[in-house]
Amino acid sequence: MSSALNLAHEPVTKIPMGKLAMWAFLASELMFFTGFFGAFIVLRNSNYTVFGEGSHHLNVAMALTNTFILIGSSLTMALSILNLEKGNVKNFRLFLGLTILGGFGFLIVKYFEYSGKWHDGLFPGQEHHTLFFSFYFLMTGFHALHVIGGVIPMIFMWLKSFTKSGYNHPVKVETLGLYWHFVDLMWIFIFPALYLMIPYHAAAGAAVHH
Amino acid sequence: MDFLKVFDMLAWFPENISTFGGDLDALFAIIYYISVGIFFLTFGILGFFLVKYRYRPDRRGYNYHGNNIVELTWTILPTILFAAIGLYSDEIWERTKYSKRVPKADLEILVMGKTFGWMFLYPGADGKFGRNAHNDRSARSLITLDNPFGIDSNDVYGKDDFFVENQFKVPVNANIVMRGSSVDVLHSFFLPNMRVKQDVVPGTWMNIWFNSFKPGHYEIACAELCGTGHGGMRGQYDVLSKTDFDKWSDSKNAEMLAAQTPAPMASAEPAVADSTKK
Amino acid sequence: MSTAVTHSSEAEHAEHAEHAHDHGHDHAHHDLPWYRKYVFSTDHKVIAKQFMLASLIFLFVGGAFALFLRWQLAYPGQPVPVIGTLLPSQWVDNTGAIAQDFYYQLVTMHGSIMIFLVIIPLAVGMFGNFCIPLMLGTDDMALPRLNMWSFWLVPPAGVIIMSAFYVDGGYAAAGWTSYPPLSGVINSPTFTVSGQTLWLIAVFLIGFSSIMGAVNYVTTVLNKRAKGMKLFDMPLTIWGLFITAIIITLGTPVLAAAIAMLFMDNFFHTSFFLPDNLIAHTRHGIEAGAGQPVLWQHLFWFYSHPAVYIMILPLMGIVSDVIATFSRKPIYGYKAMVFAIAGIAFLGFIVWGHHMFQSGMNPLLGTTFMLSTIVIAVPSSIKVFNWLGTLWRGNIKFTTAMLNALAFVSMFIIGGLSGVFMASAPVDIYIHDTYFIVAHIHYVLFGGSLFGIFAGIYYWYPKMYGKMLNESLGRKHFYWSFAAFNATFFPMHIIGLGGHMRRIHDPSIYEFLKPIEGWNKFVTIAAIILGFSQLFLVINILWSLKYGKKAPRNPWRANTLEWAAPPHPGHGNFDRDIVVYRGPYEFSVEGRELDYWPQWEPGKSISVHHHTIVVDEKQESNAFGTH
Ligand code: HEA
Ligand code: HEA
Ligand code: CUA
Ligand SMILES: [Cu+2]
Repeated sequence: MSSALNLAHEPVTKIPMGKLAMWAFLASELMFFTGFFGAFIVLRNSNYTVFGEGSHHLNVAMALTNTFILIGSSLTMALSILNLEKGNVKNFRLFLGLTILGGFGFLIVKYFEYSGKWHDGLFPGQEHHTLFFSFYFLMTGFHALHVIGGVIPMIFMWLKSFTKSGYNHPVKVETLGLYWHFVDLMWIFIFPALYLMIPYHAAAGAAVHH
Repeated sequence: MDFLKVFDMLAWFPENISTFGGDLDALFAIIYYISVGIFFLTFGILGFFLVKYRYRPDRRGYNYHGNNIVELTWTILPTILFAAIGLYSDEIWERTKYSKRVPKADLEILVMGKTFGWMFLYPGADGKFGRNAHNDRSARSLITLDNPFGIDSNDVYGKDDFFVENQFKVPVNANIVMRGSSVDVLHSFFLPNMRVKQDVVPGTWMNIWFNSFKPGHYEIACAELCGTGHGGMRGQYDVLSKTDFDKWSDSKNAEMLAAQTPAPMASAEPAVADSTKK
Repeated sequence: MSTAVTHSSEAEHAEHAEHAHDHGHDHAHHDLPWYRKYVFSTDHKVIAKQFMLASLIFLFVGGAFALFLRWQLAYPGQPVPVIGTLLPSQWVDNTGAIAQDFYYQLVTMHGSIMIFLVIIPLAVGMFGNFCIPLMLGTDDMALPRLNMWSFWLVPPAGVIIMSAFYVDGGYAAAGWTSYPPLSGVINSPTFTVSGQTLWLIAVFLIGFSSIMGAVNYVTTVLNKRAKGMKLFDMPLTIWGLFITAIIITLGTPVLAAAIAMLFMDNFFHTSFFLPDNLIAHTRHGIEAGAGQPVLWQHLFWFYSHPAVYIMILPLMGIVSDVIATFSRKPIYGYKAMVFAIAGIAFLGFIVWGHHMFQSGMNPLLGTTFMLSTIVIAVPSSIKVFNWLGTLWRGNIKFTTAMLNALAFVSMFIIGGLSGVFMASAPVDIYIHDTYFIVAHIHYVLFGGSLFGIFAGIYYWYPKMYGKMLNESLGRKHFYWSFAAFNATFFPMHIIGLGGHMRRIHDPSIYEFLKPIEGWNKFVTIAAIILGFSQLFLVINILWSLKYGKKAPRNPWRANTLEWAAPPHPGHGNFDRDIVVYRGPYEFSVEGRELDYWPQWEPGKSISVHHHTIVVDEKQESNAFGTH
């Protein structure tokens, strides 16, 4: 009886379920980071000096490297989707593998960045810089968690493509790709906010304060 | 017949003693009467419909999907009513809270919340505060449990500043301007009879002002959860006639002077000790 | 069910055919192991029942906490009767009276449990899961597995929030709003687990669960509507849930962000919400940078004001459906109702500051927030008047579901009106943080949301369990609850006007609170009656499960698609193809013998001057094309 039913029909909007859900989820993610950015703007505007000094201690070179790694991985992600859709499994593997590598690369650089900060005593709960490094670890930390959250399913898909049944769900990869682009995009906001937007009168900061 | 007061909610307010309190109560009353009107209107209609259109086997519902004109009416009418309430409220709000509308102070007092008590700093005989955490942000680093206002004891103006705990006194018919802050968590400075309520936030200063027309003895409460002792964060205050107030502040000033002559002690500690003995 | 409009042939036909369908249907799933069927089930109906069970249990926990705190308020310092001395020693002193710090834990846990573990999971989790696929005429949610996880985050959250009993210092005690710096763990070393950190973790999990559910609802509503069902053919229940899901998607993550920050303040000693130079926070140096306590309030209320609409919009939808069904009338102004829901949701995002009039934020903002808040009462008024319009010229049947729905409408009016007082910022100066607010909370959340939930439970129980609830027990539950509810919470307006602050453990120490002492006792007695009245509900639910009358397919003779499904639908829901031919509220259509016209029945009608008139009852309509 039930097999004759036709309830589970085509998506009304023509957008696959998972993909539509991902869009909704990304709206949610956007608001999550908006919360951080809102707080960042408010507190930065009342603590220019602290933020300026904090910014000076960051390693722009490492962050720039990471920016390129992420943008590159977004590109390879797109290419891997394209190849899976075309049925080119080999290239799919190649590009997805590169994307995973990008994710790991990003995390490794991040690890060195963090341990540098730790070593220099630049972390929350200190006499100086607490507020700036609160934001630094909050925003980059949650971003890094998102990177990890993206790499895990990628590894799963990648490994699955080596099994006998292979991996042939371009829509799922595409959905994950959406997420990955979002993670990339967030970094494009976080990077300048923390590393580049040094308040203009920060240099005179030490004198102003106290 | 106390019970009948249920029907007149306004009767339950504690006595108002502040110049702007009357406006707040009157605004409450206006909204109250509007609400009572709406209450009887809507409940009347509801009750009427429920009785009139209760189930009858020989009747059918009326298939009717609504009428735009009717709906527009009951959208626009409340909008006008609400707009009127909003605009009228705003005038009173600006008068009581806007910082640019704070009247010229006859007496300025600093108030500091602390778990679980209130502290009040008076400018003393010279009518002027010395350097402290309110007028100089950098003095915030001087704040300790014993010196909650961050008073700089080296400042000449500060020598006579005295503070009292859990009680304060103000003259009647005078504009009292308080600047409030907290040394630890949020508190809310609540003077029920004065219709004053203002959260105090560590790290910033709030403007609080009032002007009382009625001398008497009243209570201070804390209206923001601040920890285990929140419910017990009670204080008292007196609104005094001008002469009584002057007498009191003179005696306070004398105490300060006496405390300072023998040995120049740090900050205002003696005053605390005295005021708590009462 | 003796009515003039006798049983339709359709309904009878359906009831006969039922057995065949019912069985054929379940077979396919007999091979699932039990834990996949009842525990880690992906069936939306099972998940709905799981939400219901978990939340009703928490309703009793939260309610019991309320009764404890009520006792202390009426009889401060006196031992809790009967069980006082049996309670754990962290909670009571040696006479059995409630300890001062436990009082604050009670308030906090009562509020948090009621909001995060009772009303939100019931309104959104339970009804969202149960109603959306059925009322859209589809087999399940868009992403059933995600749906399962959205439930299974809730029990761990409940365990975590309750487990703070085993931590030094006990439960969180900073109120359900958890304002820092109080909610910061002052001067404890990093990596300390306190009741407050557990609270944060639990609420984060619930928020995550909400978001997962909401994403699923949005997708389902947009993608899985039955053939022929346009957005404006959806019942208001679905509209309420759909728009609620959008609020959750956009609002909850902001709370999650705020919680992440407060968690870091507590656990890693960051200073987002802590100013420097706090005497109690020696760890902050001068140049550490100054966080702002009020910033938390902005982030918190940016979520939590929309959250109060999360807790009421689904019920507004449900109540609309119940009222239409039992007054046998179309909803008055269906589209206006939809736009009102959307309007409330939109405005809900720009009014959060009305919780902060006295917080020390710039009074200029107070003005803007006051005006926007007052505007939000307009769409609410539209809804109230449209409900009244729906009752007008109806043929009203007072079933238990209907009684609860009417209670919703009337109590929401009272709660909404008290909201208008507080929305006026100068009036709020005096009543802020007094029992006037507590009265408002309970009129909208208990009088509104919870009565709405009761209405929904009485209305859909037959479809959930295939049994009818017992109407006479239902009535007892309703009348006792309704009377005791008003006796409990109405006097709180008066207590509030007397100046009684919220969250104080002993009003008797204040001189100015003497006049309202008697009311505190009265309220407490009423609250105890109210609490025990809920036992009727529990008994009814359990008793009917076993002994209830077998439910027909469409017991209320309603129009929406869930009633096309068998009484106790199996996995997959429907035993027939569903095609939608009309809107959900075609009751008492002229020219039709039956006084209802289900959405799934073919036929053609025209609309003349806001009336629907039958053209051909049987004709297949092709209006919606192939789809
Ligand atoms: C379901 C939950 C719910 C709902 C629906 C509402 C609805 C409203 N709330 Fe409420 N509110 C809460 C839950 C809710 N609230 C909670 C939990 C708190 C306390 C939080 C805490 O601090 O712990 C709170 C606190 C709260 C405050 C803060 C008070 C303070 O702390 O000082 C304010 C202030 O403006 C407010 C206002 C309103 C308004 C204007 C509405 C409006 O939406 C109401 C609109 C409805 C009507 C107006 C009635 C129906 C209309 C008519 C009958 C038409 C005719 C009417 C007129 C012409 C007037 N609420
Ligand atoms: C939907 C939400 C909801 C519900 C249903 C309730 C239900 C009740 N609430 Fe609620 N309340 C809140 C939400 C809710 N509350 C919120 C959000 C706050 C603010 C918290 C804060 O300030 O942070 C609050 C605060 C609050 C206060 C203010 C406390 C204070 O500020 O100091 C009070 C005081 O009377 C109170 C009382 C009650 C009572 C008597 C009930 C009754 O309706 C309860 C009825 C009882 C039951 C439904 C359970 C039945 C149980 C049994 C039959 C078992 C009995 C067994 C034993 C006693 C062992 N509540
Ligand atoms: Cu101080 Cu409450
Ligand atoms: Cu609100």
